[in-house]
Amino acid sequence: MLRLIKIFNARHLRRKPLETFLVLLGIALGVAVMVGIDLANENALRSFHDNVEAVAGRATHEITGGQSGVPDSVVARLMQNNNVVAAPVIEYLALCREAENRPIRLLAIDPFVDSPLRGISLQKQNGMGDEESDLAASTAKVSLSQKDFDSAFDSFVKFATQPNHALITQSFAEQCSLHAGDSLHVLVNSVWKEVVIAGIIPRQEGDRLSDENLLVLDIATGQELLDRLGAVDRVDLLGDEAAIEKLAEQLPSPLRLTRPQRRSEYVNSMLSSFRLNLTALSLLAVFVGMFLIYNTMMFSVLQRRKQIGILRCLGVTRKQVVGALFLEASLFGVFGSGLGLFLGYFLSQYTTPAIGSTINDLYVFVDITRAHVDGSIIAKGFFLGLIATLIAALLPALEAAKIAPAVATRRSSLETRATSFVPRFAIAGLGFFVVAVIIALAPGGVLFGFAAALALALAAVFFTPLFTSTMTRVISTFLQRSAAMTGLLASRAIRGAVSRTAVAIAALMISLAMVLGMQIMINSFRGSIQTWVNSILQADFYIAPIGSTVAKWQAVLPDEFLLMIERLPEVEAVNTYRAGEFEYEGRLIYLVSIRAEVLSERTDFIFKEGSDRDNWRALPRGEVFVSESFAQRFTVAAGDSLMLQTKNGFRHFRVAAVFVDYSLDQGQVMMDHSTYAVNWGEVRINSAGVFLKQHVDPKDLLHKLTMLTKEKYAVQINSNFDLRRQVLNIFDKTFAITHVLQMLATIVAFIGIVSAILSLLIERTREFGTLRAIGMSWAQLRRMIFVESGLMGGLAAFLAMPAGFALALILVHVINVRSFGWLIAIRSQPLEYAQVAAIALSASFLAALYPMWRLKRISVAAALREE
Amino acid sequence: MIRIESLRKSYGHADGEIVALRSVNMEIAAGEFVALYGASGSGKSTLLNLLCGVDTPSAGRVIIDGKDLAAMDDLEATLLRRNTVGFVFQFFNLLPTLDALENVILPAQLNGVNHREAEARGRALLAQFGLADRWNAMPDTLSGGQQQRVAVCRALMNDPPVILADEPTGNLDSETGLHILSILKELSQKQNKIVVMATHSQEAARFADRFFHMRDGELFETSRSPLSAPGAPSVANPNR
Repeated sequence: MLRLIKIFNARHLRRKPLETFLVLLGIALGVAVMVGIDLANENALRSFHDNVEAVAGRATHEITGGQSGVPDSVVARLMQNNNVVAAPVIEYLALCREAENRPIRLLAIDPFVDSPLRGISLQKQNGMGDEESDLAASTAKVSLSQKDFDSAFDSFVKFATQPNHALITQSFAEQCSLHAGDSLHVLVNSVWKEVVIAGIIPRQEGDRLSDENLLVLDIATGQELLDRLGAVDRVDLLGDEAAIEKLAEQLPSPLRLTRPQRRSEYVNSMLSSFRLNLTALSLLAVFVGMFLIYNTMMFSVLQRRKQIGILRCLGVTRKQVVGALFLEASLFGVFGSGLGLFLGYFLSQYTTPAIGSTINDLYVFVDITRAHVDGSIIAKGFFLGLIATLIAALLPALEAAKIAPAVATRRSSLETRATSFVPRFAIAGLGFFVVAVIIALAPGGVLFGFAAALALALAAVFFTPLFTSTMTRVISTFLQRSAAMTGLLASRAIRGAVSRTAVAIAALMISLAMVLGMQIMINSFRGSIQTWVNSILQADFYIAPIGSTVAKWQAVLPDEFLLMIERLPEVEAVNTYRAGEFEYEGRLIYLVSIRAEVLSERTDFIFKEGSDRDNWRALPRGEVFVSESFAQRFTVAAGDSLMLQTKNGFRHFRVAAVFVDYSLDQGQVMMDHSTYAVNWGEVRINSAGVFLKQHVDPKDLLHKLTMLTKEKYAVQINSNFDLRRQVLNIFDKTFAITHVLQMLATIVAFIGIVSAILSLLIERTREFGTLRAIGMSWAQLRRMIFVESGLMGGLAAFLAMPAGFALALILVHVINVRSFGWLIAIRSQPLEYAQVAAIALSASFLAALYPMWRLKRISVAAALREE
Repeated sequence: MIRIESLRKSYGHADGEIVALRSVNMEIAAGEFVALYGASGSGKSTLLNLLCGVDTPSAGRVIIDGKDLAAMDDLEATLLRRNTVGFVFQFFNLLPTLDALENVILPAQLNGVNHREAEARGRALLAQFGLADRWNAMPDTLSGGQQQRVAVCRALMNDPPVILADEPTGNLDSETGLHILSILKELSQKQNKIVVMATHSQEAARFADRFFHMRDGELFETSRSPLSAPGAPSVANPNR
């Protein structure tokens, strides 16, 4: 068998280095895209998950209070329980001036009760058990010099007793060259606040928290610094499960018991659709790559059919032939996937920050400091590449097994057999189309949407042979009548080798269809967002804390700032905006408060039903609006009632209207600020929209505002135009990675068509020699080859257009809706189709260049001698 | 009409130079049917390839109708093959995606001849060779003899003065082969064309007016048919 492999496989591959390289590259790119996206998705979230786990420490449960937090009175009661360790916590992400305005996590704890959970220690510990990491106890367990002990104790005293004193981790201190006694400036709620470093928390082996960029505050200091007087964010618990459950029963509304992992689960859920869409897109490259492998293996079987026939005559069994081909495919799979893993790692260096940036912009703050290589992702990428290769090689291997001994199948009879399959493939294509429609229309999750897209893609692929055969017949008939000889030869050649040309056309077609479908979806989405932005963003200025980019909804504008703005003579009205995370039916949504009396007269919300006047009048009565994505996710409509947990218990809120919104895909419940204040008691605002009086020059007021705020407040003031532009920039940035993935998938398809055209042309070397021998000039031959490859590209583009549009329908009306709850109006422009045609024709013309160059180097005499 | 002067063709190879043709000299006049007879590898096909400009010589000249092939560029050589030389291949070399008529008229279409005109001439040629009713048949549905007749029609499409035939009967049964040979004979006699045929068949060679025996790249003209006393060429090698 080894001898057979050496003869059959190795020499063939050595003789065709370019074709071999193209196949490896196709597989490698497919695997690289998949691995690059997977690594990016994993890395983007890893820092978040690691941080949640590190900060949670050993806490098994936590008590949260939603918008208002956990009141001090409740904290005190919990801490009195002897069976449970209850540690209050406040967390905040702040920009730090000394760290070049990079974010640092502020963690306010009670140092006298926190140790069992987080074990923050001022001394380096050596091999101590988890239970022994108490701040005070550690001094007795570790043998240190008296000077070190005194120093640590001093630091602790300052930290625990003096206002505005904090501890920082050693890693942070080293990054910013900080020492005990230095001052730090952190941006909290639009105001820079000074903190003095009381001590440095040394790195502890095995303790992830000490590796974070962390600033630890005493809980009282934290409440003052972070304007959280009277409450904390949560209380972490450690203790007996039964005791904790008993504690939870006595909690007043809206406090509730949950687990620290819940935050990770929320984020996972929040990001699931986003990640799933990226993963699905990454698989496109693998899907297209499979066509490349199939085509190349099929060509190679046909090229070696005489060899195979002779080997069979000499006694090689069918199984051995199939085995040799599968081994060849395995080699492609192994080396191609291996190469793909390297390329995927390098691709992840781009995709990780890109995806991280999008997650930062749209969802939560993630700080990607290191790119981890996850072994399971590497293994998955490798085996998926290998399996895809073997699946694609299956049919060619079975074809090889059918070759009769020493009666090498003539190409014409192979094509005759292939031609007979064309109608069957078309029927299969029709079947897939019907399945696609049924799945798309059936109720279900987003996976149904992807299944529908896959079925539609397969429908287009299976329909390609009939399309190719029919169109080339029509073109040939037309060209025959008009005596365009080169075109006639080209179209006949495509039809004559439909078993191979259709596959190459299908590969290019499916890639183009995805490009077109995605482009229509993106352009439609952009159009809808533009319409929405124009309707909803009507204020002259928008003001938000600078730190909101990292602290998100925790960053608020100071009350006095708002009063100052409202009192300006140039200002007609100010809308206040407050958003807070909220758990509803086990999922994370947002409660949003606005000022109905301001917005009702000055914006143009897009409501799904009802008159604007009636809808706005309902808000001051205590009713709510819900966003479209909320309505989709929870099957809610105008007139329905929502039960929300308030500070006074559960309450019903009538839904006045559903409105179009693209800002929060988790869904939002919007209410008047008075309703919010009454039910949740939180009146601090995240941002403000400023409406100017008529005849006020916005530039003048901008200058005034900037002068007023620059000394005291760190706020960003955006004009209406700037904010609209920012929104669209974020949108464009979000889809930048999609464009990269599309491009890579198109490259794989391009490689496929290069490989197919190369093989098709090289296979016809003798035919070209004949044409040259009977008097076809090189210019005429070149024109014929260009027409042939251009025709293949043109056929791919032509079929890609309806397929792409159909895919866009599924992306917009099924996948997008089920992933994000957004309803978008499809907008399709001629330019999108022109782009597809241009890509197809460019790819196919470029694909013909190298084969033509190779053909030109072969003399006519040598070409005539080719088998 | 055709003059060959000291024509030589060799190929460089890893193991050294391989000489396919050694200093061949010959002249062929219009209306002559010449047979190049020899075993496989003797240089017959190489000589034919050099005669039509498909290959380039290592030394020497081929002059057809006063034009030196060596002085021609690729386009001129192509036009020569299109209009001056008709080639009949051993394995027919019909284009599998074109029917019989389309194969025949291809050389005319390469010249940009009006399609109807080309079709009319093509049909006439096919009818002349008994293939009137198979004009739209695809090559894989034709017998070997039919395919070779289609190939001959193609070679005659632009009415070239020279016909080169490389083992035209090599893949045919004897009866069909004889028929093809008769056609070639008729072309030289009745249409005054130069016909140069490479063959390893003695029976085929006897159709020719002149016989050249080729062995190891050397050309020997014989005055008698190869069917005379075996192994005894009777005329000295004019190249020595």
